[in-house]
Amino acid sequence: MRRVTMIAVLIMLVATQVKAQDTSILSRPFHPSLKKGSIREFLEDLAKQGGIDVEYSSTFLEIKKVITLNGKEATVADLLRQLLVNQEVKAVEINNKLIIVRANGTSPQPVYALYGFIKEDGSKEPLINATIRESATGKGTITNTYGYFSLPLTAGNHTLLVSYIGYTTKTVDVKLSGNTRTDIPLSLNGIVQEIIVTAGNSLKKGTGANIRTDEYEANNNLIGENDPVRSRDLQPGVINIQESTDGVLVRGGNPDQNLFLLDGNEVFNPTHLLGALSIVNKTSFKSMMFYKSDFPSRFGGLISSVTDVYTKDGNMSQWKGEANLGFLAGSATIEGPLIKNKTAVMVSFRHNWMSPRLKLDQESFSTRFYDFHFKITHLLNNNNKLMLNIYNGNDRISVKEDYNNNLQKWGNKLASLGWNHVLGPRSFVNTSFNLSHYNNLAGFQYTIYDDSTSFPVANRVYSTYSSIAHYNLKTQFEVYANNNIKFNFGAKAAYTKIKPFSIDISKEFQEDIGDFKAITPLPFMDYTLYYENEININHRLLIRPGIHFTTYKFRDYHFSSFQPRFFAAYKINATQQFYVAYNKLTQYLHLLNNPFLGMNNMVWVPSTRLLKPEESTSASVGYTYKDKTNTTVSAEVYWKKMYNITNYVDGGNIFSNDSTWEENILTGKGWSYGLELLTEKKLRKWLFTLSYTLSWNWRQFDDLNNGRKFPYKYDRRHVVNLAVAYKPNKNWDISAAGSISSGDVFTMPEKIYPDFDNSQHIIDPEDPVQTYRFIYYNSALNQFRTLPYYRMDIAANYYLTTKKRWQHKFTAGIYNLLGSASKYNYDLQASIDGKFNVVLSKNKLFGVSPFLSYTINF
Amino acid sequence: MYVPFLKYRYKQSTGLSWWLFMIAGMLQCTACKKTYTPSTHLTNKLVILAELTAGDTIKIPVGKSTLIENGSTINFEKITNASVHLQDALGHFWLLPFNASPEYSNGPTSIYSYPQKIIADQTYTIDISQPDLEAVKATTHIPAAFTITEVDTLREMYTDQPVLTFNFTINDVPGEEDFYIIEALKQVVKIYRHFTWQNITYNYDTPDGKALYDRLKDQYPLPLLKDTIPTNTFIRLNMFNRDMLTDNSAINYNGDSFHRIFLSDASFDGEAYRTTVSVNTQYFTSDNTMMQGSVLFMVKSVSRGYYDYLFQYEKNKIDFGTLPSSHSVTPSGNITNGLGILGGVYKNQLTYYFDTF
Repeated sequence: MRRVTMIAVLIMLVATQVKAQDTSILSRPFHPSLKKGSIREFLEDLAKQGGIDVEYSSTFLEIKKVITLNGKEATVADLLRQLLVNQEVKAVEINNKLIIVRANGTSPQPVYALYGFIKEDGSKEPLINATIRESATGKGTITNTYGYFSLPLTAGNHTLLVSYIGYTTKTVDVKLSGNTRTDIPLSLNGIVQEIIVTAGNSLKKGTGANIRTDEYEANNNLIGENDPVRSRDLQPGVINIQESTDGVLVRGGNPDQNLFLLDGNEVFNPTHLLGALSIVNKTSFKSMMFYKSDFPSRFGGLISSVTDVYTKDGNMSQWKGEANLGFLAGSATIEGPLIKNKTAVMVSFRHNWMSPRLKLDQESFSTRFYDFHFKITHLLNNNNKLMLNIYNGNDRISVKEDYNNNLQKWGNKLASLGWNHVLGPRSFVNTSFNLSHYNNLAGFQYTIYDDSTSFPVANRVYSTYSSIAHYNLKTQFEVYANNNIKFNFGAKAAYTKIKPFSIDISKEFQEDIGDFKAITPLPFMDYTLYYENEININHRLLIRPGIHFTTYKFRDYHFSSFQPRFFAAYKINATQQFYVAYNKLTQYLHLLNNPFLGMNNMVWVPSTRLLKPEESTSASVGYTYKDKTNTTVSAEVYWKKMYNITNYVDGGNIFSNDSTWEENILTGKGWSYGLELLTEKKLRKWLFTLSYTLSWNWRQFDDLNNGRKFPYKYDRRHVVNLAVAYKPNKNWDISAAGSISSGDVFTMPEKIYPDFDNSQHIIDPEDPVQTYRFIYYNSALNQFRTLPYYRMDIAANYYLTTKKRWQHKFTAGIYNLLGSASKYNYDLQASIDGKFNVVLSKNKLFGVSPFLSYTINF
Repeated sequence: MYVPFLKYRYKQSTGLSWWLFMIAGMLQCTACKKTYTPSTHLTNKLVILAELTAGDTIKIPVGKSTLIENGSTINFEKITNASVHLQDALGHFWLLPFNASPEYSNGPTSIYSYPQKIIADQTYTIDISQPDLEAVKATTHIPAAFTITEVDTLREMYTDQPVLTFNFTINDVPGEEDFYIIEALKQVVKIYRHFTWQNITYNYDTPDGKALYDRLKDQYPLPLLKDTIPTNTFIRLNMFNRDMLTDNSAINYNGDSFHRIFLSDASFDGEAYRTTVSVNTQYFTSDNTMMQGSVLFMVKSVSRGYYDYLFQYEKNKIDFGTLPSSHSVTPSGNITNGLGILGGVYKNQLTYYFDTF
């Protein structure tokens, strides 16, 4: 086993009589005076230049071996790693001396768990994905979504670096003589973030991206309303159809394949303003993780991506607040202790007002939205925490045009009760009960005209109402078995009830749900078990095999799904890593978009014997480079295949008959492949992020396009996102964000040919356009491409601190600086003189929109 | 101390250069885009829009498509120089000449015809070539004969409309799946007024005939007789679907009217099936001589391809003007290298006269 161990340097600290505040020998800064030399020469240099007593024996150490340093050594440990590579020895620190002994020359040291929570100093807000790392060995871990960590270390003294984005990195010295609970507070860097040097290029445990949301105001700000979720859209592989109900598309997937979790609770439509703004209020936002290539086994239910958003728990030590006033909305969050260090509450509220800007752009457009978030966290004791979480958000939009009007109302109601329990030094469990309810009402009013007089004679409103209620009980365990193995496992039972498409035809808009015709609900159950191991084979290689198993029941239809997951990362050297990921995912919900109604008319329906569950299989290979000059580069190639994805049948209308709705839906295949690049460069006052996606996205349905494959409508071959931030001093930051992408594909008739009835000399006296009757023909779906898309936003923040606790932020910017379209629509129109016109409409909710906003923290 | 500093500066510079190179490279990639360009070269095609009905003579409407471009006119060029061949599975072969009759001159297609009657339960293949367009070919099968019996009619009001409701039984042919289309048309008739003088019949509607009649009518008892001559012009009569087993619910709401009722025998193969349909009587009578004629109530057994084509065609008509053209349904025909449909039909027809002439 020893021979097999290629990583021969086992550096262990066995420090005795070292004061807690002393720095260990291994972590002391040291720059050798020579770059190339024998091991003996380097050790002598260490003693001479570094003043460190070093003891070793030439019987087991090849002291004449010549070593050339790579130039990256900054500490004693860095130097020894290079000198002692492939030597079966280890460095032991005893009595302020450094002794190099055989790897098996000393008795094994007991291993204990250092565990606890990493929290924000003062508020005790748990920090998600914070890093804790032993400086000498580089061994470390990250906190889970509740701030918990468990790090196995040998007995003795250890120096730990604890870091988190946006917080001051902290050095913690601990002495382990048994399992030790340590809750570590980290302090915020202040409002204006300096460029952060992160904790180095640790071996990846997954590809989930911890999205920073405070870097590019220009990217996140929608007319004065900061939307942290928009930061996700800078990631390669993500297309956000701005201001559209089609929303976010990830790696060629459909909009309904993206799981959005708010504090662990699934949200079925996480947007306001028809997709322009997320439901996440910046003033209550804490952190966001985004997964698209590697899915830890605990995730399931939707097949293309996971956006995992967490809001603040509430400040445990003092009352604090944040309020924002912008052109679009006003929002405020207040948090504080009900019982100091025991019970905290967080209340957040946001409401829009009809901004003059919006009125100017869309005279016929009126909107109203709000969201309310309440959270209470109670620490039962050191090891138990209870959390109650309630969210309610609603939208109402009406559009009045000459000939028809639209009314759209939708809303989410969420509630969850969670319990965090520290089972012991090496294990943690979270159990929660969650409720998520989404409802959507779409009304479309049209006018009936008298044929003889052309005067309007009546109004008809065609309205549909649908809702989905989802309840689940889930529990998630994390067990750190030993130094190198971690277990994650858990279970979930879920009940979902869909009321798909109640219909109402009336003279006026019906907003009272009770007026809608009751339709037989579509309830289903699904159960989940998952299990995964995170195994550190050695300090260069990590693997994480896992399985996600679900079983589903809808009426007499049963379906079971084994979903293997695999992730592996290999550290080439201190700056470079390779990783691979493989995932299979299944989803039982399908989102249907009825083309017969305007605006957001999407309806969730369950899988049935005819309408099989959607499944995806994906694989990706990636490379990352991260150096100490704050340059990061990642490249990833991926391949994804999707089965049983949905499309309306040509000519089908799901709303016409609720007993045969399945027959109107086609299922087919989709696949996507491409290359994604992401690079970040941080200079002292500048920050750049550039992402590029090259992708191909296909669909194939047996009953569409004569069974031939066709490009998915958002098959944007190239997508480039660029964001730049400049922070000249602590009071200012200026940012710009832009994107350029290929156009979408669309279907347009390419020919017309004579009308069938006209050719039979059949005249329809009711047909007002019988003279111009013809039949459209297109030889293929989506064979045309729109103009390329481009857009740019700019913003500047000015920070001012008054008194001790009052911090002000003034934001000014221009949203959609170039007045770009968020979506191009091409349509063919025949004029009364019998001529065709291809009409291009450039859809956007907001044109060039200057904005101001003011935020106060108190 | 100096050396590490130099290294740091060097690395920083390298990273930025690489980064700028990335930007330049990606912008170049995005510069080579095509917009609103079809993936293939588009050309016009021959069009066939024909129904071969057992018992009727051969009549094939042939036309040509028009490419859509900005500013292009909605106009269909007539095809009068096509070579049209029809043959049956027994090897009979007919060359169909262009029919230059004025009664076909107003349509968007040209008629090629032959006085040969179509036979039920027979397969026909058509080949058409034309100097400027790719040759096309299509095959269809004429369904086997069937009957409708126990026909009851009832005048009533349905959805506030006056209708004539037909209750009847379809005696389905067992075996292969059959597809039925029910429709109602009014065949415009031409009024032929004539009189007989000295055993010679004169057409009153000609200038000479009218002059002769006016000269003689006061001197002799000269009755002016009227006959109706069916023309090749038809008026569409709307129908209401009264049968939940039809496929029309996938086209539109059942309360709305339809041009055609679509019914397959999936649930009554080989059995007698009783069904109900109502025909709007609004155009049963008319004072306008251009809209007077006989009401034809037809129950057709049609080939599968024809059924699907007309189903999509009706859907397309209902959506026309309410949906973007990109959502329009394109009926899928059975013409190889061309557009349109060659449908096979066996029909039972009931004829009614409501106009007074």
